[in-house]
Amino acid sequence: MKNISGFIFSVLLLLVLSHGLAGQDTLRTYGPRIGVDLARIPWYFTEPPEYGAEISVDAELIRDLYPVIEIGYSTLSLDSISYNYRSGGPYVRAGADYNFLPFRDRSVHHSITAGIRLGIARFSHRADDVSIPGSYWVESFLDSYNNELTGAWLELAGGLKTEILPNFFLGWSARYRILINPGMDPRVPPRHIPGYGNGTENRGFGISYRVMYKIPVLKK
Amino acid sequence: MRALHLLPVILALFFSCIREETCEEDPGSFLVTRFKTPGQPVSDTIINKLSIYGIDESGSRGLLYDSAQLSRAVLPLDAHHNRTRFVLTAAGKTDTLEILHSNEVYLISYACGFGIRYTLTGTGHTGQMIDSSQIIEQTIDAEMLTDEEHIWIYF
Repeated sequence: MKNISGFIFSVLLLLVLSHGLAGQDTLRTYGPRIGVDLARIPWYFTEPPEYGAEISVDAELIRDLYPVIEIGYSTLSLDSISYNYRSGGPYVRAGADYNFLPFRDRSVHHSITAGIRLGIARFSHRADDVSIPGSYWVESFLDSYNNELTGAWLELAGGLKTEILPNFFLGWSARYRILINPGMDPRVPPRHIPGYGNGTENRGFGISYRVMYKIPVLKK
Repeated sequence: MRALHLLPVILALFFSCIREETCEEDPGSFLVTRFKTPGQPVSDTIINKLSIYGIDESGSRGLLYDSAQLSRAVLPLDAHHNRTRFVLTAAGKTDTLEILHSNEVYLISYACGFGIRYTLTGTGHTGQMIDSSQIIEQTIDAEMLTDEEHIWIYF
């Protein structure tokens, strides 16, 4: 009995000590941080629905500077009385975030960031069952349309990331997007540029909401 | 810090208030012809009791204007061909107006759908009524201005 109570006391003491030691850890961990964008999910339920997924990788290579790459795929379907429209393809954004949140304790990994991205999407958009109302000459005019496009845009990003558990982060960022080549298809401006949004508008807003895990490669 | 995670929810609600697109365009594209009298200066003219109908390989397609008093005529082009012909009759005279054009399907807007954009490439006529014709504006699409004119026809 005495041995058992002694064992429990020893374990509790070890837990308290280890917790205390963890709190006093002033070392900072470094490594690639991999994230998944949860803000894609609500778009599945909007009209028209937009299906897609996005992952990101960033790392603090220089103090407070996080180069980042975001890779995704998205599609949009728009069914109308007079046409059926589809647009989809992969995209990539590359850039960097800078952390403005000052911490004396470098073991704290929360951050408030501002950054910039260059985005590129290679996608196809097509309209099928295009029906143009009849006129004097024809009852109705039927056609289809298909085009392969490349969209490019600049993106300003601002947001924050919180370390909710060791190496696990929750973060969001608001995005302001500027389309670099709005005239990519003058005949049919794309309704959806993957990773950008509505291609009929030269400016756009977006939000990302990510869960991230940092692989602790280095501690110093 | 963690309370700031509510901010994107507020931002998302704000950005979700996207205005719904509505269609305010007529999806039809029509050739607008204005009638003129040649000379210096060129002046507008009115043709009395003018009838106009289209013809193709199958013959007459039915009257567009029936003995009307007109200073301009709004005419439909044939989107399946690169040539559209109209027969004009007035005061016992007849003429056939020939319009040459290229056609392409284009998007008016995602709310309105698609339309036809015509590019005028030439005009001609065979008969006694028309003196000559002149292309004023080559492009015809659904986004037509109220004072838009594409061809002047001199009588």
